[in-house]
Parts: sequence; structure tokens; C-alpha cells
Amino acid sequence: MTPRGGGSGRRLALMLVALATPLVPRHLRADWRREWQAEIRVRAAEGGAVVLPGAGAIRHALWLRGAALQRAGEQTLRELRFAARGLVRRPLFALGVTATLALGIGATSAVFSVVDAVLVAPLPYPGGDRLVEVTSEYVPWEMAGLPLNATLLEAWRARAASIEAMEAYNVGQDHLAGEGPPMVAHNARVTAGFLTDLLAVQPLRGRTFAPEENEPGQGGVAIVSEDLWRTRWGGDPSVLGRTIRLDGAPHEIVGIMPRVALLPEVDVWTPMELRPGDAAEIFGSMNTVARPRAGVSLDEVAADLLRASELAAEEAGAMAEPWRAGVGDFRETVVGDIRTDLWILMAAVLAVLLIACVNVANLLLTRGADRRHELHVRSSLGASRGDLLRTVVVEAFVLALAGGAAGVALAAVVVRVLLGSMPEEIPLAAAVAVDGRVLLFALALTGTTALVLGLVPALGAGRLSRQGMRPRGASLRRGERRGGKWLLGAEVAQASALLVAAMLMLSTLQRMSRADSGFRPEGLAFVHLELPPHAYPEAEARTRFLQDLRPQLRAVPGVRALGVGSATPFSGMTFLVGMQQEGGPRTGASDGGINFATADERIAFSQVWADPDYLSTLGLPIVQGRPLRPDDAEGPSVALINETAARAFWPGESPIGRRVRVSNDDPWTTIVGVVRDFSHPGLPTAGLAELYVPYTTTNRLVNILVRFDGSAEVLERHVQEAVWALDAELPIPAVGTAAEALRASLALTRFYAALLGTFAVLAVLLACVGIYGVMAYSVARRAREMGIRLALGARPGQVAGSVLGEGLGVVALGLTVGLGAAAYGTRVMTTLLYEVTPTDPATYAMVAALILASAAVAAWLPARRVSRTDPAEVLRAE
Amino acid sequence: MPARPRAMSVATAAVLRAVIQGASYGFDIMDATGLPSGTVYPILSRLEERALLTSRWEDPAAEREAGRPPRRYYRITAVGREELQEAVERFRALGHPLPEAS
Repeated sequence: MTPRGGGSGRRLALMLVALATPLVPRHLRADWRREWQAEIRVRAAEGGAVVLPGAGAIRHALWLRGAALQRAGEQTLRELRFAARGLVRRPLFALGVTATLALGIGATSAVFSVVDAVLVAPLPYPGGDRLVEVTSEYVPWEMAGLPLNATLLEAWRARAASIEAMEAYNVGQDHLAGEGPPMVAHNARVTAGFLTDLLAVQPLRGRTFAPEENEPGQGGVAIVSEDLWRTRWGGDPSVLGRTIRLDGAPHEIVGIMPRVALLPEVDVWTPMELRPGDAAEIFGSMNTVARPRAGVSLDEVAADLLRASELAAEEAGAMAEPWRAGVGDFRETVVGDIRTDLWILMAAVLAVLLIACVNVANLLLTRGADRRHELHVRSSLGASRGDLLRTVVVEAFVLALAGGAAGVALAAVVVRVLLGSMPEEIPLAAAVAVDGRVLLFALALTGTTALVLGLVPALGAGRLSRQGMRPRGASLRRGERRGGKWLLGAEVAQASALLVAAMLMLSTLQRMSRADSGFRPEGLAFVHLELPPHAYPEAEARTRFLQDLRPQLRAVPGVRALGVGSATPFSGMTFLVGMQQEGGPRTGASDGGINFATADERIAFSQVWADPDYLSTLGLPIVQGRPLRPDDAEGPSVALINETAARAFWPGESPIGRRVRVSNDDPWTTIVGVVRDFSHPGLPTAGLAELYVPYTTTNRLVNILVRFDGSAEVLERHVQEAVWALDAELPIPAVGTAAEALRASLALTRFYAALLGTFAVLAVLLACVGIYGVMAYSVARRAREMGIRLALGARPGQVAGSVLGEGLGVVALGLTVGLGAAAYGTRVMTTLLYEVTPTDPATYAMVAALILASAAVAAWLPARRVSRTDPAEVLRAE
Repeated sequence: MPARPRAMSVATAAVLRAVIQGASYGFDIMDATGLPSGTVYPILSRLEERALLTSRWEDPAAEREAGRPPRRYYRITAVGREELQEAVERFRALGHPLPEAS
């Protein structure tokens, strides 16, 4: 029963009203509450039921709120249409704003798509956000970070409970023959689960590997990459079932695999032969990747694997005993040093976006000033402050949305360009795409931009209600002028900082391209030969081949000298060894005074096996002692070292006659000469201590250096003819030139310089457009003031000068702030720079000059108009 | 069916008629139509918004003498009468005459 008239019923009903009150739109609230309270009180006084009718208050309140929301929605839609129409009527304004925003949002989204794929997004594989690299430490030598061997893989996999999958790969170069001309192919040997489980990639055609194919003698199958399939077989599907030879061994093609983002260079996939317990394979070559169970942290995985390896050391026998497991973030392995570089690019492009936003904000401010008249009219017609606010904010939103949409379209184009020019040092390129994540990012950017842009006119509209009606075209208020100038200063500051970064990068590139390598790169070529073990199993076969090849090559027209070694400065391969000097300690990271690439790199010398002509062909002079001689290969062990090594081990002394050895089992090697360093920043082994020992064909690596006159193409053809005359089955020897290799080694630097340069140019251009816009507007709006000053006798030059001076003052302030910020911010670039410091005075001076000059032009163009002003005309217009 | 501005629901017509017949406060209208307050009040709000009704507050002084708070007083407008008339005729034509008020 409903309580009748009782005080409790009344109280309950009034409580319901109080409860519903906040739901009622603010402007109706007071009346609404008064009405309901009155009705309930009257009814209760009459002794009527009030609880049930009182409950209706909630429904009424909800209805009113709903109606208000609907009205607001309709209003916003109307405003949207209104704004769109307004913008269509001012196509230049709309286009300028949209294009500026599109540029900013597009470039930022494009760079983000790279940063995201490489650094942020989970790797594009199952559990891609938690993949770890598993390495082994050889405890007796305290050498960590080593690849695994098959014994360890099996022993640890079986004992680590936190691991869901643990698989291994190893990419090498194999001699591919059959079904086309011989070639050197990147062959990825993998455990069966690597493709099917860890990467979970599907073949385009055919199948992946079965676990039993990893067993010794059970391989003989291969999956070819889609790229190779298309180039070598023209995409012929009947390739499945055919046989190719990899290093002479027949392999049946069982599948075709699309490009794998992690290992884009792979041509052929084959099953890795696993021989757990094989004592011959102490040091493994298995790059091992593991997927921990979901929710297990990296630390937990590390602890679990360490425990598993200790357990294995006890249980699994001698092979597992001296080893301990180590774990690292797999992304770090994949990404390497690129991380900081990419964030620098991201910061740079964000600065461009900010400048674009500032420009647009400036445009909106000036437009806001122009619209004041319109807004005043609407205000006098009864539009509330909220209505006016909505009008301007909605317009900003429409502009931001248009800019965002155009930006995404632009990003798609820019990403294509980026991918086309991206050096291969940047990993995971295949995973870069304008995908959902990038769209989301662009959306967030657009939203933020809209918010910021909406705020600018909103502040303007806020002022509107506090001031009286003013005639159209009234001169600018002080605060308004200042607001525009502040933004201008910020813009100039960012453009200057960005320009500093770009100039530093450009001067790095310039210095790198001019760097003295220590040898003459002109007329120097190098040939890398793979002598496959199946065809050249013994050193004798290789010696014979080289003995036959040398005179053939010397006979090639234009060849002046040639030398053979295990590596060239261009091959990127280096054989690092630890070194012990007689009577001295074994070198390590902490001694020897040598700068190692990483703290973990405990091994000091890059060892090169070189024949007697190697160094003279390269053009590195002997600065002390004697060169290697033909008879050194057979005699007592001798070696040359480079200047870096000499300085590090025997500072201030002559190293000639000193003795070193790699390990305790080796004979002592006597240093007989010192060679000039080669020192090019683009060469991977530059700056290392080098040890040159006599070349022997026990070494399988054949790198030939050639000094030649004439064209590299002709040389390449002759070299190929000479090689194939001896062995038609050898893969096409790659002939490179030193000049080209040095150029290519700068690809990453060039890429950064190009991007930073583009961003800086955009930034400066946008800033100039901004300066021009603000100055032109200011001049136009102050026409009356100028007219009066001119009429009062000021010379046009004076008036123009004051305008110009006012603009350049802001520019100078922005420049100062920008250069200061650059001096602080560019320190993160130190590792990218070469022979130029982040605070290089010349660079800063140049940037200051460039900014001032372009700003002066941008400010002068509108200021010039002042001097052409006819004061009479201006005053008449008033 | 698309809602035309003049299509009036039975409940709305009932509220309007109750106001014509002299019910001028929310709860009185509720009693006159037999509709719950949660239905009557949104209708009142909408009718006022569409200017078919107007409302004013009672003179507080007069009511203080009567010993009760001032109430909101609804009155039909000329447009309201017109639209109610049309609606009643339409209902009749459709064979659904408006039920008599209780």
C-alpha cells in the first residue's frame, strides 16, 4: 500500500526529487525542483499518495536531459554544416589550414609507422611482445652472449617451465645451384618449430618442416622465398618437388615462403641438422629465440632459464656442464642501435607538426579577429556565449578532421617513399605499414590538434562576451597582437632547433663522404668468392684454384695489382680474437686502452689473413718494420699490426720484435711491422686493433683486392670470365668498388640527413609562412595607425622599419631560445655525428644567419606594403 | 511511421483536454487523465516547448495565505486549442474517439 499523507511518504517523495535534480539541465533545474516540491507538499497536505507520483520526477528529469542532449546534437550537426559551408566560402583559408595540418599529421604518422613497427608494436609474431633471445655463457672463459648448441637447446628447453616455445635459426651463405645459374643464397637453417610455431608463418605454397627433418640425414628439403621463386623461377608453381643443390647437397623444394619481416634477406629455408651430444659441436651457432608463457616477466624467464641450465649442468652430462643460460629482450637483438636514431626522427617530425599547428592556430586567431563582427551580430541576436563558442570550436574540429583525413592519405604515400629509401640497417621494414595502430595514432593526433585549435578561438570567443560591440576592422587589441607573436616566437624557436639538428647531420654526412680512409678508394675493387666445401673440401684444392686464378686476373686489361685476404675493409666480416702479449696480461675490455664497440666485447683484435700483396694493393703503407713476405706463410709465425694496436699495447715503444699469441696452445707470433690504420667511419672494422697474419688456404674465405684502371663493369666481366673459366659452377662473383662501398656505407647517415633536412626545410618554410601571415595581418589591421603616422609626417621607410623591427625582434627571441634548446637537445645525437660536436659554433652561426635571412624576407614582404600606403586613402576608408 | 509535428498521441491529447477542462497543476492533470506523473510531466514539458501550453507561477503572496507553496500553473494557448481540435477530429475519423475524462 502506498503510504497516504504520512510524513514518511512525503519525505521519500522529496528525496526522490532531490535525487533526480542533478539530471535536469541546469537552466531548468530551479523551476523544476520548485514545481515538484510544491506539488508533492500540496498533495501530501491534502492527504494524497505522493511516493508513486514522486517517482515520476526521475522519469521527468531523465526525459528533460535526453531532450537537451538531442537538441545539443542537432545543434552541433547544424554547426558542422554551417562550419563546412563557411569554409567552402573561404577556400583559400580552408585549403591552407588543411594542407598545413595534413603535412604535419601525414609526416608524423608516416614516421610513427616506422617507429611503431620497429620499436613499439609487438613483433609481428605470436607473443611478439614477450619474445626473448636465449644465449649461453661458457663459464670457464666467462664468455657470455654466445649462440647455443643443440645439446643446450634440448636440455634447456626440456627444463624451463616458463617457456612455451624455444626455437633456433642461423643464417649463412650457401652456394645454390641447379634450376638456373649458380648463385650465393642466404640460407636460414631453422628448427622445425621456428617457422610453424615461433613465427607461425604460413607457406604460400607447399609445406613447412616436420620435426624429424631436423634429425641428422633426414633433411634434404628446402623452402624457397617468394622473392627467389619469382626471380629465379618466374613464379612457376611447378617448382615444388624439383631439386636444387645447396653447397652441393641436393634439396627438394617443398614450399614457398612469403618474406619474413624478421629475416627479410633469406632466400632459402632448410631444416637445421641437430646433433645433440655431438662433442664436435661445443660452440654452437644456433641463434635461439624463446616465447615465454603469457604473464611471465623477463626477469622470471631469466631466473627460470638459469635454473634450468644449472639443472642441466648437473643432470645432462658433460656437454651441458660448463654452460649457463642468459636471456635478453629479443627486440633489442633485432633493433640494435637504431632505437635512439628513430626517436630523434620522431622528435624532429613532431616539431614540424607543432609548427604546423602553430601556423594554423595563428590563422585561426586572425580569422577569429575577422569574425568578431559576425559573432557580435549573432550575439546581439540572442546567441549565448556557449553557442558562439560552439561555432568556433566546431569550425576548428572540421578543419582538424579535414587535415587529419588528408594527413592519413599523405602518410600512406610518405611511407611508400620511406620504405623505398630506407637503408637495410633498419630492421623489420616489412612490418611497416599504415595499419590500424597508425590510424589510431593519426586519430589521436587529429583529436589533440582539434582540441588545441579549438581552444585558441574559444579563448577569443570568451573575450568576446566581456567587451562591447566594436566596428568591423577596428585595430587589433594589444593582447591579440601579443598572442600571435608568442606563437610566432615558438615557431621560430622550433624551426631553429630543428635546423641545427639537420645541419649537424648534413655536415656529418659531408665530413663522412670526404673522410680520409687511409687508402685510395679510387680504382680499388674487391671480389668476394665462395669456394663451396663440397667442391673444395681441402686446402690444396683451394690453393690450386687461387694459383690458377691469380695469373688470369693479373692478365685482365687494366689490372695493376691484386692481393688476397680473409676479409676486406668492405666485407663487414671480422674475426675477433683475444690476444696475449708475451709477459703481459691477456687483453680484455678493461685493459689495453682500446675502445670496444660494446662493453661485452671482450676480444681485442680483428685478425685478417693477408697475402704479401694484400696491404700494398689496398694502399696501406708500412710505417715501421717490413711487409709480409711470401715465405712468411711457411716460416716461424710472424704478423703485422696496425697503429691502433701498436699504440694500445706498446705506447711509446716499438712493437717490432714483440711476441703475442691468441691462446696458450698457440705458438708465439713475432710482430715484424706496423701498418697505417684505415679509418673511414663507414667501414665496420675501422678503429679496431688489427692483426695481419700470412694468408693460407686453410682459410676458406677468399677476398680479392684489385687495383685497376678503367671501368668497374668491364673489370667485373673479365673477373667473371676468369673465374668461370676455372669453375663454371661457382656462383657469380660479386665485384664491388671501394668508392661505391664507402658511399653505400653512409646509407643510414644519408637517410637520417635526408629526413632531418626535409623536416628542417619544412619547418623553416612553415615558420616563414607563419611570419609572413602574422606580419601581413598585423600590417593590414593597423592600416589606420600607419595611415595616421604617415599623415603626421612619418616617412614610409620609418613606418615600414618599425613594423619590420617589431617582427624581427620576436624572431630574434625565438632564435635565441631555439639555439639554446638545440645546444641542450642535440646531445642525444652525439653517436650519430662524425667530426662535428653537437655545439659546433659554425653550425649555430649558419643556422642563425639562415633563420634571420628567411625571417627578414618573410617579414619584409608585408612591411613593404606599408610604404606604399596612401594615407589619404586609408583614412578615407575609415 | 515518421513523426509529423502535428501527429499527437492519445496521452498528449488527453493532457491538453484536461488542461482545457480546468486541471491546471501537474498532479491535478495526472488525476484528471489517470496517467502516471512520469508520463504527464514529460508531455507538459514538451507541450510547453512547442508553445501549446504556457505556464506561470502562482502569486506567492496569495498562496502563503493559503498556507501552501506556490504551484506551477498551466494554461492552454490558442495554438494548443487548434491542434487539440485537429487531433480530436482525426481520432474520431479513425474510429478512436478520445476516451472521456474520468
